[in-house]
This record gives sequence, C-alpha cells and structure tokens, in this order.
Amino acid sequence: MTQERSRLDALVEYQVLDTAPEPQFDDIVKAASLACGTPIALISLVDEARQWFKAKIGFEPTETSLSQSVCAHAVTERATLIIPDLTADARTAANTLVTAQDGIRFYAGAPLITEDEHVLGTLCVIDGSTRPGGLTSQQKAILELLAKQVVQQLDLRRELLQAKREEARYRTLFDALDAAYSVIEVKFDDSGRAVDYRFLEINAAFPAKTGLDDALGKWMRDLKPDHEQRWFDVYGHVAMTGQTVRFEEEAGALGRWYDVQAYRVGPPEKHQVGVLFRDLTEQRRSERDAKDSRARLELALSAANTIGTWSWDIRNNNVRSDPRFAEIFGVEPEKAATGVPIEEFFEGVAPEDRPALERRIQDAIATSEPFHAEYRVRQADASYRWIEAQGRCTYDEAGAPQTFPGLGIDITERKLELTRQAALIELGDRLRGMDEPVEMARVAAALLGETLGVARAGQARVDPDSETADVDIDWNAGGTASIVGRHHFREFGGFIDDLKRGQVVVIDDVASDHRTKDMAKAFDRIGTRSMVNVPLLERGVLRSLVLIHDNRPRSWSAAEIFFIKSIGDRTRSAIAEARARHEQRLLNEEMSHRLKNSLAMVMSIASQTLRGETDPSVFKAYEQRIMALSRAHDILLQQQWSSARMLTIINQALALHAEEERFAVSGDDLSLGPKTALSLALLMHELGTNGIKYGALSNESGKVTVSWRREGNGAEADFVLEWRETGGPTVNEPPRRGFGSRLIRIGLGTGQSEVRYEPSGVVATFRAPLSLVVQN
Amino acid sequence: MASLASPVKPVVLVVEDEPILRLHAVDIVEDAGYEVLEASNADEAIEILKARDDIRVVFTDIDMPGSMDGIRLAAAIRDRWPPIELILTSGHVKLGDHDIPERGLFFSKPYRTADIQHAISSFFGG
Repeated sequence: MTQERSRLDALVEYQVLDTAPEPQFDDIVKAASLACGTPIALISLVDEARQWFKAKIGFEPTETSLSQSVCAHAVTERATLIIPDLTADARTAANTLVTAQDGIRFYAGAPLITEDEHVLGTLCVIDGSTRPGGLTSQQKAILELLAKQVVQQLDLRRELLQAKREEARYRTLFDALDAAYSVIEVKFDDSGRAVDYRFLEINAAFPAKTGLDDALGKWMRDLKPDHEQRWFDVYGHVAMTGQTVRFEEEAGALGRWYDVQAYRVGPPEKHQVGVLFRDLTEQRRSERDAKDSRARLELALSAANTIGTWSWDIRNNNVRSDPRFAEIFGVEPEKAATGVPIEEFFEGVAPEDRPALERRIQDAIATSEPFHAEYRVRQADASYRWIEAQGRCTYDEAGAPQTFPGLGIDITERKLELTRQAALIELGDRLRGMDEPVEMARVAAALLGETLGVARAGQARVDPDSETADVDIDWNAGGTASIVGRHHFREFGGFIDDLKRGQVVVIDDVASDHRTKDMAKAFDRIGTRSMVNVPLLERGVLRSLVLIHDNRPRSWSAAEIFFIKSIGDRTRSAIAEARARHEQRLLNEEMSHRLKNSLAMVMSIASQTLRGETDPSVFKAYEQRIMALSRAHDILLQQQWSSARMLTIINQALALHAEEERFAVSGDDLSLGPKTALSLALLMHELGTNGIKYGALSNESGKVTVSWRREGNGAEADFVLEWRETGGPTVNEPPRRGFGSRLIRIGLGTGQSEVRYEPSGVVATFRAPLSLVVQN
Repeated sequence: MASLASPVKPVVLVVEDEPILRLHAVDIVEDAGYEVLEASNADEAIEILKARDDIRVVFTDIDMPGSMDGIRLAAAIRDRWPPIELILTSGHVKLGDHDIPERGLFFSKPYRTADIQHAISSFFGG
C-alpha cells in the first residue's frame, strides 16, 4: 500500500468527512483566527481529490478541489508552512484562489499529524493581504498547539463513536432478553401480494410486547383488521426473497413503535418469516421529551467558550489569560487580563490533582518537552470541571525559561460520558453472577450515585392508588440520610401525575419548579434540592421508579437522564433474569427432591421384596448401585442439570469404595453432559465394587490408577478412559457375566469398552467420541 | 444400670409419614438389633415421647405434613428431652447448618442401610 493510500484510509477511519459542524472544532478555528489576527481560519482535511473543511471561519465553500489547495503543500511538507505572499511563491502563484479578484495573499498552516504519523490536513489561517513578517513565534506556537488539539479532538471523537457502537451492540443483546418473537406464515393473493399472515409460534414476551393476547394460530387480519398494509408487504417481501430486513416502524393498529428484524425461516415455499420486535414506544416518547432539554444543552455548550488560552511570564510569575479561562479557575477576568501569579490559578485546581499538575509544569520547563495535563477545577457550586491543558515553555538566548504559553479546553462532558460508559460496563460485570434482587439494586444505586456525584440514588415500589412510594433501598453520599420507608407523593408536590403517564420527572430546583415549589420544605427535610425520577410502567400502570436526589440545584443533562434510564433498564433485565434462574433452581431442587424420594421408595420396595428370599448381599449390591446413581444426580443438580465436572464425578464415586490414597486420578477436568455423568458414576461404582471383591482393593496394598485423555483432533477426537489395577491378587476372567460386568461393558453408554485380566491386575479401557461425552 | 444378664435393647423411634419408607427404616433399625417404635408424624411422635422414658434415638424424616416438620420436631426434642440422640433424613440434598440440631446427624435420601446402622451404633459408643 502506498503511503498516500494508507493516509487516506486513516482519514476515512475518523469518519469525519462530510459531517456536520461541531462546536469543539468551531471553537478551535475561532481561537486560531483570534490568535493569528486573520479573518479566515480553517480545519482542512485533504481527501483524495478535494480538501474538505471540518470547521471554517471567514470562508464560504465547504470544500475545494486539490488544485486550489494550499494545505496540500503543507501536508506534503509535514511541517508548518508559512507563505507571507502567495502571489510570489511558485507553488501558489497560479492557484485560482490567489489569482481571483480579491484573492487570498497570506497563508499559514500547521499540519494535523496523527499518532501514526499520518498528516490528515491542516489547521490554517489565511489573510487577504500579504504579511511580510509571517507569524510571530508565539502565534506559530499557538497555531501548532491548536493543530495538535484538532487531532486530539478527532481521536476523542473516533473513540466515542467506537464506544457508542459497542454500547449499541451490547444493548441489542441485552434487550433481546425481553423482546417479542414470532414465526408467521404469510398468505399471498393471486397477484402475488401479501394479504395476511398467521402466527405459528410466539414467545413468552410476545403478548405483553404487542398487546395481542391469544394470537397463536390466528390470522392478523382477524386480530387487527386495520393493521397497515405496509407490514404485510414487508413480510411478503422477506418470505419471497429470503432477504433479511431490519427497520423501525409504527404499528398504528397496535399503538406502538417497534424495532423489527425479519428473516425467512424454513424452505421458501412455506412462506414463513421469523420476526423479532423490540418495543420502542417508550423510547420514542422519551426521545421527544429529551429533545427540548437536549436543544437547551447544545445551545449552552456552543455558547460556553470551552477553550481558553494563557501565557505565563515565568520570570515575573505573571499569568495572563483570556476571560473564559480565568473564569473557570475562579480568577477575576479583569485581573487575569493584566496578569496574576500562577498560584492564583492553582487555587482552583482540585487538591488531589495539584501535585501532579505542578510536577508536569516543572518537567516541561526542565526538559523543554511539550506540556500536557488533565485535571479537575473546582467551581463555585462545588462541582468540578475537567480541563485538558497543553503548552510549551520558551527560553531566552541564554537558555533560561522565559514564557510558557498554552491553552486549555473544557473536557468535562467527554470525561463524564466516558465515566458513564465505564459505569454501564461495570454494572454488567458486577450483576452477572449475582442472584439477590435487593443486592443487585443496591449495586446499581451505588453506581448511579457515585457516577453522577449526587447525594442519593435509590429505588422505590409505587402504589398508584394510594400514591405512595416504598423506598426499598437507597445509596447515600456521606452526610445524606437514608429515606428507606414509605412516602406519600402529594406531600412532595404534584409530579406523580407525570410519573403515572410514564414521563421522566426532571427537576433542576425543587424550590422553583412549579410541581414542587410549594412543598420545598418537605424536600428540605430529606436534604433534596434537585431530583430525577424515572418511572417504570407495567401494562400502563406505574409500578416502580428509580430516584436520584441531589442536595443542590442542578441542571440535569440529557446524557445523565439517558444514563439513569440505561442503568435502570439493565438492572431490571438482570434482576428478571436472576429471578428466572432462581425459579429454575427451585424447580430443579423440587424435582430432585421428588426423584430422591422415589429412589428411596424403590429401595424400600426392593428391600421388602428381596427380604428372606435371597442372600442379603444381593440387596446390598442393588442398594449400592442406587446410591451411586443418586450421588451423580446430586452433582448434576449443582450445575442445574447442565453438566458435571469429570473430577467431581470420579472422586465422589471412588470415595464410596476406599480411601483416597488407594487411587491415583489423572486427566484434565472436563465438563460432562448429564447422560455421560450418570453412566460414568455407575461405571466407577461397578469397577470399584469388583476391585473390593476380587481386585486391587481386596487387600491392604493394591492401588488403582484412573486416567483419561483425548485422542485425535477436532470432530474426530475420542475420549479414552482407563482403569488400571496394580498390587492386587492375581485375577481371572469371571466365568459368569453378571449385571455388574454388563454395566462395565456398556461403559460410557456409547463407544467401546475392553476389560483385560493382566497378571498385574485388571485393566479396563473405555473409548467414546469426545463430542458425545462433553457437555453440549 | 442395665444388667448384663438381661440385656435391654435400646429403643429407637422411627418417624416417617410414607408407610413404605417407614417399613424399610424399621427393618434397618431392627436388623441392627434395636427395639423400634413407629410414628407417622411429629404429633404422634411427641405423644409417644411423652408416654415413654426409654427412647434413646429418634430417626425422623424432615418433610412431613402436619403441625410440625422433622426440623421442628428435632428442635422440640432437643428442648424437652435433651439426652435423646437425633438422626434426620430428607430428599433435599442440602440443609442449612442452623437446621440441624446439636449432635444431630443428617442423611440424604436414599440412604444406605449400613450408614444408618453405623450412625445408631455410634451413639452407643460402637
């Protein structure tokens, strides 16, 4: 691959070409234009045949051809390119942007160099008049720093896209747990148009998710005569073409929105389609709700000047900065314009971040390496903002540090987003394997509370008739009291009406929100000043809610609300899954209980039947076999009848016969299927019994080696088990074949078995296809 | 003290609601050389315990209908007749430790004849 090709590939990977403007890039070009005093500043990305501008100021076109690109030269140079007079430079004199009337005259561009050394384009500033002096060294330094900032923003943006994609994948899987699924048979008329469909199969979630009770076997036209024709068309298309489709669509007749995946199942002539629905009704509604607040947030973000620059005169310890940078640090803008000691800026930095920040600054001065740091700054309302700062020290001719210019960017939103995503992943990790709903809710509440930095997070059951909430668990930050117990909604205002309608209640300040302002005292008693309540409705009835309280007024972001809902949804799914597991376990235990009682009955009946009729040893042998079977059942039950560990089965069976030191057991522990586990337990029992009667276990010193191995590879692999006795009396092949020796011949229930009576003792070998032995 | 000349067989009370299982349990205890009394539920067992003062061991099922299950019966015995030894059995694989009374032994069903006989004899120093 040529270098240019791999550069273009790298550019594509950023997924930034032809995307909408974003404030963080707009702010950078603004900063560049201000710093360099030019009317035009651009972030130019050099594509195959064009340059495209991610951000621009003072320039109309969104892209130009490469022949009009000055930046392309900077990309080739891989270094900051400054051309004081474009008409006088051989590379640009013929450029139509230069030769045009009122053409461009001065150009300075810093390359956008990625970590992999690819130059994506430039951050450039352009002027209509020539500029013989070019840029000052400080302007050049700032332009280069801003260029680096562009690359970092691109990197961050790419990371975030990646994280979002992973998040979406994870979510689909999770939600599938309670998605509705059906297999339908599509009916066509003579013209080949789909006119109806019938439900051949539906899953448990189907009735609740669609509102169609008792749909199995019924035709859709009978169930919902006004179901839109487009649904029949889509399924008809899938049945005819075998094409898989996925779409989001409203089913008017059902009053719901769905995310639908449909694919053909079975042979084409059957016209059968599998359909997976995810109910989006709730999401659509909350998206509408969130839109207003999101628009507000975006307005706030773009208005907020997220970037600030500073310059530190080291010798006089005087830091000058623009007002927005000063404000974040709590330094008065008027003072910052003329300069204050750097310590005044340090005042605002979070105490735990300060030592590292000071060390990095010292290092940058000592080494002349670029300075880069991320740290938190405390705000007047006790919240923190994350700042990313970059700069580089400059030195006088004698090598003494002179000035230290740099810039800062507010990365709080991104940091919080990453923290929230990490919290979602942590939630999944921690809930997996948990069984106790209360404990699971506690984990979720703690994660919510800690991640959002609020005073309280909890969960409540709601009785909509009496309008009460039973707070079952809550997590509380230090100094905040728990509110576990029963509460009456009306004592806290009128927001339960919104909750009943399924609306998320977001209150930035209980003292001013119309729903709560008359009840501010009640909130004061529980130390709450702002709150979010996310309701959960079951069949349209309010059942529970996730509550978030903070002890100060707070402007909740759409991203925070989404995070609270995500945690709530996932916790609920995980709890439902744990409940199902728990019920399955109870069911298995009950089945096992009955089975074991039945075995006890069988044993009792056998004992009564054989009593006095036969040698007591006959009953004893029978009893032992039933015991071996029963123990194997116990082991299987521990794994919910899904599998049993090889070592557990062997050790358990052998322990019934002789002391541990008489056995040597070797082989990799395998997960056995239930059938093999039962066969193996019986087999070990018979071999052990024979060993005690005639073989190596009949004296004081004999030993038994039990070993197993895999032979061959892949689908052809065999499982080979060997029972080898040594140190016992001489054995002979028994004349009569009893039930025991027949059990041994059956072996693992599949495959072959062989018993040899060698002079050293019995050697029994069993072979079966590995795929049949291990758990499927 | 029992006289060597006329050895008195120790008395074991078997409590089991399922008649077929009770038959088997009685056989096991009898075959080991003990005298056996039978009860088909906890209430009956309590009546017998009140009427007799020579019962040394109670061998009871846990899962029984009636006002008391085997666990509560065992607790009542531990409380009112502390010297009596207890053997419990159930089709459930596991019991919580707190469910088994002090000095009590537990066997999961089905149990082996030999295990029950050893358990009883262990109470008599055998």
